[in-house]
Amino acid sequence: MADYPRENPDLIERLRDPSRCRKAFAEVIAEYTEPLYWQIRRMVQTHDDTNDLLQNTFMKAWQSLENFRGDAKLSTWLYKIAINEGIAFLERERKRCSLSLDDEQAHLADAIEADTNIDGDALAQKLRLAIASLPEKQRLVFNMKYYDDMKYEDMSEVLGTSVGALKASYHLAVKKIEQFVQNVD
Amino acid sequence: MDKNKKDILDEVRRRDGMTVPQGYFSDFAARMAESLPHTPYEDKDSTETVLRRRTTWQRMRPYVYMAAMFAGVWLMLKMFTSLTPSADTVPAIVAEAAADPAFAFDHIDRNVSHSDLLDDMMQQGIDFDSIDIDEFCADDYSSSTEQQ
Repeated sequence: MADYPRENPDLIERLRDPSRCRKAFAEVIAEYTEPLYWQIRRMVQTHDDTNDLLQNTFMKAWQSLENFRGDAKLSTWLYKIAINEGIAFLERERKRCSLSLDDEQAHLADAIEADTNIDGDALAQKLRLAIASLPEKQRLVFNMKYYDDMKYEDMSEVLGTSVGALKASYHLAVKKIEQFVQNVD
Repeated sequence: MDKNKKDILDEVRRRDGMTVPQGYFSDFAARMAESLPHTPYEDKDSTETVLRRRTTWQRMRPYVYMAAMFAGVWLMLKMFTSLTPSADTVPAIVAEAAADPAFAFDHIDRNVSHSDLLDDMMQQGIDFDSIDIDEFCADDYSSSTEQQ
């Protein structure tokens, strides 16, 4: 999976300069398209929804660029926007289909089964289904830690949760995945 | 059970089995960059935004305030500590006050036996040289004779 782009002070400086921000933001898009895509895709599962949410993410970031003061990392800022987009989308879907939280997990499992943009890796598919069975927060934490290998401190900034709580969430998620795999086998 | 967990997480090794259409990422980045609308921010004067940038003092300010707050708390604790009588000063003060029979009669519960008080003071290590014991216990003696 795509790794985090490194923080680039020169890029941030150019983003804060109105005369150069458009070109700088195009660089941001080129650098962050892939990592943000996978982050959103693991939340919503389908390529089409991910594509729409990724566009919304960059559009929101572009329109609120003036408010980005460079205090937080660029990656943290973008991840926050992307994750909020993903959470809002899942919330809208829950309302649209009148789904409970449990139904939502089944809904995600259906989306995984119906996904055509896959490489046929059965084990990876099984893990996707196991992750879909987790509660929303644990799903997010597991994806960020396992797939993105994100530091707990960075995750804490993005999700606004303490490092201890994140570690506990990850531990619980691993336990539940273990349980899920055992039940399926 | 533990083996199962290790098996799947170790074997999958961060693969999620998901794919994207050919050339999706580069196409997306190009399309997205082209579709960015014009924003009022782009019309702003660069020098104006440079002026709006946070100065070193603005960046440091929260840390300075926090340091000042801790210094204040430290000073307050230090002040309270200096105002609280220490173990060395308490017996001297108590001994001085207890040496005055008028103080003792005014402030000490008369139902308490003075000999008990003296026992207690002795345990506290109070210097009895400065106390007139006979005068101090006279009240005990007179009240006991009155009762008889």
